[in-house]
Amino acid sequence: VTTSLLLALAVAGASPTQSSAPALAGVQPVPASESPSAVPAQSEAPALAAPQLPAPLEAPTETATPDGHSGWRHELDLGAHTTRFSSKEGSDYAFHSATLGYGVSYGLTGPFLRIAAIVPLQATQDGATYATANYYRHREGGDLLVGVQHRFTVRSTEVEVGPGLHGTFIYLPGRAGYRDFTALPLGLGVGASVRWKTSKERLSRVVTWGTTAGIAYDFRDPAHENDITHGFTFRLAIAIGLGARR
Amino acid sequence: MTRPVRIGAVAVAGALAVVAGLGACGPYAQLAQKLDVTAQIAGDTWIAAAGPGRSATRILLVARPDADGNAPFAFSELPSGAKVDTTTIQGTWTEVGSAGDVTLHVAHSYVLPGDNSGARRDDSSRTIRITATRVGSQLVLTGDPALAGTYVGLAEALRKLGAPAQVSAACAFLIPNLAVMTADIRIIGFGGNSMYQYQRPATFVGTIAGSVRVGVDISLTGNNAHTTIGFSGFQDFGGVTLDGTQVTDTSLAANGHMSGVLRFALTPAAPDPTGVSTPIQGSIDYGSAQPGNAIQINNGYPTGGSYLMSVDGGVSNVLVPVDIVNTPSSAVADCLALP
Repeated sequence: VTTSLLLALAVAGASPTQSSAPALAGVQPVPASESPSAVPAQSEAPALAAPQLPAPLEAPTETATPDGHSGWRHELDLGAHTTRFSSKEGSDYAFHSATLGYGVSYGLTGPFLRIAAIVPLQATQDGATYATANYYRHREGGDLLVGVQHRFTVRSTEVEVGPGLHGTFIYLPGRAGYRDFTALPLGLGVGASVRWKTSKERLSRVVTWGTTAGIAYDFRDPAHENDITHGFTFRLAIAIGLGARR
Repeated sequence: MTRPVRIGAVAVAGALAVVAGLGACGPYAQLAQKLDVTAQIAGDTWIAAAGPGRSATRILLVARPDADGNAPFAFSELPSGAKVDTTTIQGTWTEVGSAGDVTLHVAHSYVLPGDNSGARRDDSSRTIRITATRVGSQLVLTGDPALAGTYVGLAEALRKLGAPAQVSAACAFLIPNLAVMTADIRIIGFGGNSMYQYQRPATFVGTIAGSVRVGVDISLTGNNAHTTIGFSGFQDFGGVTLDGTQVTDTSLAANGHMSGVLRFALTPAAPDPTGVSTPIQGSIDYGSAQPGNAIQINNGYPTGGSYLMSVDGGVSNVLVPVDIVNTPSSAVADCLALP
């Protein structure tokens, strides 16, 4: 009987108007901050406990979804980046880089953005391999993947995956006597992150760690007369970040 | 054909494009590509007229062969008219036997496209087979349409210009301008947005002697680019020497004007083996002395103004309209009386 009553009142409590107007006279509202611990006590007081159930509705929005996947996720990551592409003039290029990135996403299903600074360390063209430091004064670049993601749980691990627009920029200003190299392959990609909660907390958020990855198919380069026939970019990194609010 | 006019404008546009990530830098560059790979050589320079109406000029420089018959060479194809492709190849000329069988081992192929995508160099090797026949003072090449022609020694041909007082202003411009053109072909990125790279100036050697130095100053906030191409004792082929500086100032929309003065010396062959030839010297002013007549640039191309020509002991301050480089013609062949 108690369980049935609780369920009935819980449904009734889903209405804000009902929750703000006590159904049973004489029942004192329980502060939201006390609501989790108050539930067992409610079950021990069958007739009076039910009005306390609306309390979860007043909890932070980020924990309102069934799996706790709502809200912001912020991550810093460190990893590796490879982009390969072929030119219409018949050359095949590959650049292997170290990356330092930042990722942010929002909501159970919502937007995400992953941006990374890349440092091309090694490059190849048509089978010839070059240590970029030997030929270029600076080694700079960036990688961007922006799109829509969806979060779900796999064995207590939060997984986030979604498609997006991709771009990589490489700028290698040559040493004295050498020609600059630039590339701007653009395409479509998929980004994914897997994150685990830790017991630590910062800024009222759970600290997470995990991995983030992106793969893209590139087919445009407006900065080079679209001299690209096709290309692929892959990025894999270890990430640390802030998850849902406690 | 007046690449100096194009350079600044294109460089400016290139700078903006690279920074904004919107423009066309031309095809991908080669990785770890040296800007200048020219090895200076000494040898004989040959010139021929080619193409429809003799509107193109071919210049062949062949060094003296070693014991195995191998000699470095450079060959340039220079069509007249606006927005044309100009090319140069460099490599080794190997002549075997007395029948004139020649194998050209091409090591570097340059192209300066007429579409503002920028000069580029392909370092892949290839082979061209031709037949070289010497007929009197002429060199007749057959076997490959891209090189075929009846060539004469450039020093001999320069004698056709006559004494300094007889040299027309048009010829005084066109012949030195051939060396300007061959220089531009080898400046990687010239005529395209990759000129942005010469914010760090670079030097290219002349195939025979001297050098040319390229530098670009770009101000995005000031909406301008200042390009200088300085020639110093520059000889890309025998008989023509350049000194001085071309200057181009444009907006980021590749509109602007030129200035600067190039001094030239044309050295014809001596009238006899013991004689000493007298160079024809003069200057090309791109707009310094008469800014009102400066070469005007529109969208990276020379579209207005005049070259102010002077020849020591000859014409003085004669304006040659820019149309002389925008219209296909046999003017070079006519100046040198090429066959």
